[in-house]
Amino acid sequence: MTRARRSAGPVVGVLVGRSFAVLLAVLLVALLGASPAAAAEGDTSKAAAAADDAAANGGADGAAGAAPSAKPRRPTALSLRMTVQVIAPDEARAAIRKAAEALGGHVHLEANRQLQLRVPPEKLSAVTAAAAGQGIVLDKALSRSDRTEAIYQLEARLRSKVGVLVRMRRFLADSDVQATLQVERTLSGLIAEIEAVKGQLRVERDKARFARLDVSLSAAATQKLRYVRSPFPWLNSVDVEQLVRRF
Amino acid sequence: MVGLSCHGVRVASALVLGACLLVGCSSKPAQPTMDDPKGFVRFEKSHVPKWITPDGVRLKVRRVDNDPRGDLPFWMDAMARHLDQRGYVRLPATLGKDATPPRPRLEREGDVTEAKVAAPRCFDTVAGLRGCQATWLVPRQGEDWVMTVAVYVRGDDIYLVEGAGPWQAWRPRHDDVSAALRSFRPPARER
Repeated sequence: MTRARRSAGPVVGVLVGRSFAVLLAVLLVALLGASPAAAAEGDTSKAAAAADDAAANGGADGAAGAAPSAKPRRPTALSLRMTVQVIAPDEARAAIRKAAEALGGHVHLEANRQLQLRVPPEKLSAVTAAAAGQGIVLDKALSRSDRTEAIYQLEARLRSKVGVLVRMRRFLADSDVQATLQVERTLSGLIAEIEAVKGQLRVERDKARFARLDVSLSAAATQKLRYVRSPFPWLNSVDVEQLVRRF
Repeated sequence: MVGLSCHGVRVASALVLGACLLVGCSSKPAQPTMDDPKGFVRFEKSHVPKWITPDGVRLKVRRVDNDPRGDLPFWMDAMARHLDQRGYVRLPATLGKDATPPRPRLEREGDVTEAKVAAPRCFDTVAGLRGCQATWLVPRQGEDWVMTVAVYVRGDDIYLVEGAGPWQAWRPRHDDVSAALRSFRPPARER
């Protein structure tokens, strides 16, 4: 027993010492790796960043509207709200939806008097014109929001987290069981964060890729019958209501 | 003397009135006739020809005085103007299988210009009488209704065949009603 303790003592000491060193290194890397500067070191992160940049620029192409394409366009989220007075809201809604779908858009939400559409930014004016053609435009408001900063920040966060992930995986090669478990725990947390950032990035890019068009339909009370008296008496009796009631 | 004469007048009036009522009840005025349109059933006991479908499409014939005396184009024009002013939307003579109700176009707030104005459909009946039919779209209790009016003019009489029903019920029957209008016959002239 004592012999066994004596023989195991230095081995355990070495193992504990190594685990502590690995954990210390993991924590250090995690702390340092959170900054974008540290993240830029990894090859994988560079590749990911390049791909992200390309996608971001692609998404921004249509968003800037009709500006010449000499310099890269900034990703812009377009949002247009309009209220259209129509005679038959159901038919108008169907016609607007059809026009949007024909131009590459899709329905986000459809209710009795409301239609939320997502359309390619370059087709926004065409879909808006189709909606306006259904009746009278009572109000219209266009808003633009530059998503460049938000997208760049998310990309930087993604790069840094991917960099940390790559470096942490290297520790797995020469770590003991306890350290491996610790690294695995940290890795799984990191992966969840990376996925969350990717999701946010996707949302931001979609904002730039599809313009948002909210159409509210207001029914015009214009198809009411007017009571006009004819100088010919029998013509005053030609009336749908009288026909039904006196049938 | 005066009292007696008054009494006599009263009795005579009552007798004349009774006789008139008896004669009136026994001799029903002659009515125009028309074949039953497909899908319609006729009210046999009605004093005027009228028909109905299971889903409530109604059709009825009536006579009005041709006063002031006008011809068929005159009355079609007057009727079209009157109903257009009232907000009825004129429909084409034939309603296709997939036809949808035409809509007035809103040009400015509060202004409505009519949908494309359709001319009435004029035809000769099998009895050789000229008739014209015009059809309108009418809002009624939040629904689209169709109203059709066929006009025949003969001397002092104008005969109207009026039909109405909700758009969905009317549309498949429109052609059958139009076909039946050709079989319209006014009552024989009194000698």
